[in-house]
Amino acid sequence: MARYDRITPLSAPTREQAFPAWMTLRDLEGRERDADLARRARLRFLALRPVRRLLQHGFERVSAASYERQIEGVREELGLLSARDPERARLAEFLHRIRQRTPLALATATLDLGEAIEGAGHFWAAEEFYLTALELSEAHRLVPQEIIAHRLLGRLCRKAGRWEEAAHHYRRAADRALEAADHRQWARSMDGLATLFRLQGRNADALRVGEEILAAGREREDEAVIAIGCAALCAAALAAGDLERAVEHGWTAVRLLPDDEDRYCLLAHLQVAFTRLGLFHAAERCCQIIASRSGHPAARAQARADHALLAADAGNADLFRRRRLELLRQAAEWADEPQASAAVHLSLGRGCFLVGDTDFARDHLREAIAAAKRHGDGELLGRAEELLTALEQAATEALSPQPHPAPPGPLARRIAAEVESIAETLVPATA
Amino acid sequence: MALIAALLPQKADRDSLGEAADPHQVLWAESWRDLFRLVRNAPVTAAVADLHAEARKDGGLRVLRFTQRFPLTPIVLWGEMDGREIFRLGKAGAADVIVSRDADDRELVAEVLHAALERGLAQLLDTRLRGRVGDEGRELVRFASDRIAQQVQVPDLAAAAGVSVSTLERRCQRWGLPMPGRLLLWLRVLWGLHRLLEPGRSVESVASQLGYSSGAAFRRAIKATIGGRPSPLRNPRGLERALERFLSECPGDGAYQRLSTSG
Repeated sequence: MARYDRITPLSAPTREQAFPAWMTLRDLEGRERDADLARRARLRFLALRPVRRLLQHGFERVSAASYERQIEGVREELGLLSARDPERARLAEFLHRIRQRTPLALATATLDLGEAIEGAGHFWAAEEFYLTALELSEAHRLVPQEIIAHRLLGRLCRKAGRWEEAAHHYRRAADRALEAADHRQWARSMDGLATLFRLQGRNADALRVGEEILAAGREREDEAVIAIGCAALCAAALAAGDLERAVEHGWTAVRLLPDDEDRYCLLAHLQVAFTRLGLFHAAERCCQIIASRSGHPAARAQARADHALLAADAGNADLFRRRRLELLRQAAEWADEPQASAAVHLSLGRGCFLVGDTDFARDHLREAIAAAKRHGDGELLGRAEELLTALEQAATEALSPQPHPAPPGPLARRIAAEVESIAETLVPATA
Repeated sequence: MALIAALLPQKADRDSLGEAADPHQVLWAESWRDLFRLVRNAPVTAAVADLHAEARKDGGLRVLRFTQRFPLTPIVLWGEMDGREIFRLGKAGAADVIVSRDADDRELVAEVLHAALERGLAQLLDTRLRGRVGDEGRELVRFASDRIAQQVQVPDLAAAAGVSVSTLERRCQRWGLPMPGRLLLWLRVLWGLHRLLEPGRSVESVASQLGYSSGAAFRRAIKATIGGRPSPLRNPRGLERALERFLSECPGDGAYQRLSTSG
C-alpha cells in the first residue's frame, strides 16, 4: 500500500455510482485502520450481495445452485468473527432466511439485519440494507415491508441529522400505511414524524401529530394506537416543559404499550419528567427498572448514567461521584456500544458540571462528541456540542438543573407513588 | 461481441474468466502497464484485473489511475480482498468486484461481466431509442453497436437477421431507422465520440480502433454526420449534440409510438 494514500481523501461515490452493496462499507470512512470494523463491513457486504443479485438480475434468472453456493461461501467466512460475537449469529440467521429465496423472506431478513446493524451504530450499512429491502418490497408489492422500510429509513436519517430525508420517509410510510389501512404502522410512522418535529424544535407540530394519533386510536378503539399517541404526547409535553401532562400521557402509554422495550423507552421519558418535578424516588425507580430489565445494552447503560445524573440533579455530589466511578469501572460493558458511549458521556459530563467537576465534565463532553462523530449520530452530536460550548462560555444555564416548577400536582404525585411502590411488578415481562 | 482486457496472472482465473466471458473476446495483459496499453490501443469495452496482480504495487491506486484515464471503460476487480480494499476500490471507481471464492462460479462471473458491459454506448442508445423505435429496430441497433469495434458491415447485419441487404433496408425504413449503411456510419461516429470522452485516448487511436485508415478519415466521417471537427465534441455536451442529431434521423415507427403512448 502506498505510504501516502491518495484514495482515502476522495469523496465517496453516490449509491448509484458505486457497485452493488458498496455502501455497506462506507462506515469505514475515516476509520480505515479499524480492522474489526473492516471485517464486519466485508461480511455484511458479502451477505447482502446475493440479495442484490436477485434484485438486479431477477429471481428466475439466477440458478439455485449458484445462489446457494454464493451464500455458502459467506457462511464459511463467518468464522472470522468470534463465536460469541452476536453479529455472527445474526449473519448466520440472515443467510439461513435468504435461502428461502422468496421476496418476502428476503425483505424481512434484510430489514431485521439492518436494524441490528443500526443498533451497532453503523448507519451507512444499515441504510443500504433498508434501501435494498425497500427496492425489494416495491418491486414485489410487499406493502407492509415497504412501510416498515420507509419508517426505518426515516429513523435512520433522523439520527444522522438528515431531517428533510427523514420527514420524506416518515410521510411516505404514513401515506402507504393509510392506503393499506394499517393504522398501527401509520401511528408508528407519525410518532417518528413527531419525534423529528420535536428535535427540530417544532413542539407545536409534535403536539399536533400526537393529538392526531391519539384521536385516531380513540376513534378506532385501538389500544396500541392510543399508546403510541400518548407516547408521542408525553415526549412532546416534556419538550414543551408541560411536566404534569408528560407524566399523565407517559403513564397511560406505559400501561398500554404491548412491547417491553417500548415501555422502557417511555420510562426514560417519565424519569426526566419526575426529575424535573423533584420526584427523585420515582425517577430513580424508573432508572433501576430500565437498567435491570432492558434487553438493550445501550438502554441499560444510559439508564445507569441517568441514575448517576439524578444524584447530581438532586444536589448529592458524593453519591453522583460514587455512581460515576462505578459506571466507569464497568466501562467494558458500554464503551463499545456505539449508541451508549456518546449518551453516557453526555450524561456524565452534565453531572460532573453540576457537582463542580468541570475538568471531568469537559473530558466527558469531548468523549461524547468524538463517539457521536465516530458513529454519525447527529442527534447526540448536536446536544454534546451545545453543552460543551455552553461550558466553555461558562453559560451555566444550559447545564444547570432545570429549575423545579410549581410543586407537582396530585396526579403526578399519585403516579410517582405507584411507580415507587409497585416497581417490580409495574413493568412485567410480557408472557 | 465485445472485447475485454484482462490482467489475471493465475491460470485458473484466466480459465474461469475465459469460460464466463464467452462469446466475448478476452485480450490478456501481462502487467498493469500492459493492461493500460491494451485499453488505450484496442477497442476494449471493459477490463478485468486481479487486485494483487503485481507484488508490491498498490492495486487500488492502479484502479484509480485507470478510472481517471478511462472513465467510460468499466473495470472489474478480481481476487482476495479485505473490507478496506473493497472500500477503497469503490472510492477509486471500480465497476464491481469478484471475490476469490466466487471466481470459479461461471454464472456469477458472467452476470458481473454482463452488467459491466451494459454500461456502454449500446445501453445508452437503447435507452434513447426506447419509445421511439420498436423492439426489433432497437435489437438491430444493439447488435450493430455491440460489434462496431469489430468493424461490422451491412452484409453482416443482413446475415445476422437472416435476410438480404435489400430486405434489411426496407425493414430499416419501416422501423424508422436510417438505411443500414448510414446507421453504421452514425454508430461509428457515436462510438468514437463516446471513446474520446476518455482523456487517455487520441483521435488517431480511436480512428484506428474503428478501422479508419487515419484520423483524417474519422474526421471526415464526423463531418458527414454532424458537421465540424471532433475536438470541440470531446465533452459530454458534444456527445449529447451528436446523439440528438442521430435521433433526428430516426423518426421511428409511428405505430409503435402510438402504442407506447396509449399504454
